[in-house]
Amino acid sequence: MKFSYYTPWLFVSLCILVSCVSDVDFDQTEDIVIGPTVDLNLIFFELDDTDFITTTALPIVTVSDTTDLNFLESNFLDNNLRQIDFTHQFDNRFSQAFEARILFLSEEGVLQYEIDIPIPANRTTTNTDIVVDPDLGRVLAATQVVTELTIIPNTLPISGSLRHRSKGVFYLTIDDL
Amino acid sequence: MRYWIVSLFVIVTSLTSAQHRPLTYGVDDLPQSLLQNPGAAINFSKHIGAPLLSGISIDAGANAITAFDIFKTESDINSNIENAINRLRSTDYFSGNVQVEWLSFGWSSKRRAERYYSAGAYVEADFIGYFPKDLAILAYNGNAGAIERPFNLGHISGRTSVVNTYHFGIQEVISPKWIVGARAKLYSSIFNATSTSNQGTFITRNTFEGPNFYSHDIENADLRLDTSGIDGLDQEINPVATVIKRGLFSGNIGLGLDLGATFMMDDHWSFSASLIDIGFIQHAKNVRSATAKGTYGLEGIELVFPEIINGTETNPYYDDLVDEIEEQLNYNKNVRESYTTLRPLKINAGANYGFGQGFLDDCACRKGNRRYENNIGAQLFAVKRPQHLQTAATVYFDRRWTPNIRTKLTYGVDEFSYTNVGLLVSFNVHKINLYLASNNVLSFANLAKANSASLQLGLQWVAPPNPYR
Repeated sequence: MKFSYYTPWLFVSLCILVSCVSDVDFDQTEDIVIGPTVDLNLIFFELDDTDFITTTALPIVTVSDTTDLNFLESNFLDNNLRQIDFTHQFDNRFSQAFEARILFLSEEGVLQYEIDIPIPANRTTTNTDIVVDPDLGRVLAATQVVTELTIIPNTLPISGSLRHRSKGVFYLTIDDL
Repeated sequence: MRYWIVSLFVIVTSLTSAQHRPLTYGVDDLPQSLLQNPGAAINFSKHIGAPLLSGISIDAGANAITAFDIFKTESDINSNIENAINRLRSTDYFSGNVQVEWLSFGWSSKRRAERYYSAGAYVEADFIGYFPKDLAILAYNGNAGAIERPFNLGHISGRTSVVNTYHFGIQEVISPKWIVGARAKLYSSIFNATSTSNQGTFITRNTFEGPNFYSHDIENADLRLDTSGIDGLDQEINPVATVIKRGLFSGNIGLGLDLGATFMMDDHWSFSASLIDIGFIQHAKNVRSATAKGTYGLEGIELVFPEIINGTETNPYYDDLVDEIEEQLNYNKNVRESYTTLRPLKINAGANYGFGQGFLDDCACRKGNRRYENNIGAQLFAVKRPQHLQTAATVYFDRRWTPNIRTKLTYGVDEFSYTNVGLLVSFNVHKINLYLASNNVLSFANLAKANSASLQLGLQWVAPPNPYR
């Protein structure tokens, strides 16, 4: 069999000519959507009657506490979060009812979003608040969350405990990789 | 960003089994065969490689997925990705290797014609990453539908390195039947990132009696990422110059050894074997590691209502929580300890049967070193990877069509393909040798469907064989 000096180059040319990529569409990357759902604990606490009774004759009516939730203020969430389901559960063993207010404040202390939850006496109450646009943008503009509890006095003595649990289910849609 | 991802994916999946070069192994016309076996039979008396062009090898692959699997037009890309995540295992991997010889030369000893010296330098970039299956599922789906499901943090496993290697080898025909050779190597690591021995579990547990709905638990974590050659690079005025300087001599150096031999049983049969890169690199300059070790359960932020307790306004709960997590998990991203990496040891073995017209029948060739028109044989290859031994088996037909034109056709079975057909063409004109080789040529019809393909080429000056050899 005769070979010329051109044979290797013919081989190379042939490889280049026959090689191809077909039946694929790389433009589909534009359509990639990832949608993880993250279920995350948020805040919790437990209060009892000592938190409301003082040495004075008048009980404390309202207690509150504030925490930063820095992760809410992120470009990633701004761009990819489409819904949050906040779940707050109060296991109230007081004979009194409560009013709970969950306040989302901006860094300057401006109210962005509020969740109000009536808590009946001697009951477990579960509240789920579904946040989508436009409220979602307000929640994400918040950097701190205030939890405020107001006891509604009645004729019964203040005695018992209030246990609170909360979580957020974060629905993400990531389409800009 | 997405185009970077696509480009990387296409490069990785369209190019083969890293560092596996069956086409040049045992080809006695090519000096590159000495890099695969310092004791290889050779048929040249001197060689000088064209700087940067004498040996270029690009190979990469993904053993269980192709570009077609993801980007095929017949189905939606998101379902393709989901299927891939579900189908791939944590032992599946992506790998790539690029090697460029920038210096290559060799010569026969004047005093002992049976002895051949070879030396040179090459830069090698190598990558292997195992599919972090559990973390991919967690990132893709989130944890909401996977309460009580443990995610294995040990699935994080990968290594990437860029190393400049200086080498000097000697081989000698020590008897009519035996050629033995050895090559000493000095490694200069330009860049290394290694994270291969991770452990731990992440799990979200229901805690019906606990303080909050769940406990997000990291259990028995032992995670470590070691890097060298990266830290401080962004502070350099001219990072490219720094990389080149580190390439020549980085301070992260190592030593290595290649060993090889060929046994010529008779006029037709020969057997060869080699161990390549028995060595290590000690990383001591520009090192930076991140570590985390321990167990932690996240229940959320516990409010203590400070107005009630001490009248202060607020507690820095969030920052305290971050600090607590880092403390409990002993997280440290600024560990500066030297560390040692072993080079990926490669093992080659081959059996060759030569037949047909001998081109040098009139020479004083010793027994067993006749240059036959045809050679058939089989080769085995293995390379030590972080989590497994990557193996391949190849059979071949090697033919010299003329004294100056040679081809080698291979059929291989490896972790990437059961139908890996490769072709090498080596061509000499006035002592100038040009070779071109590619694996997986059957996939050229549609590279998107290939788990792997590779390309090797080189240009060099090669002097005719010493009559004795």
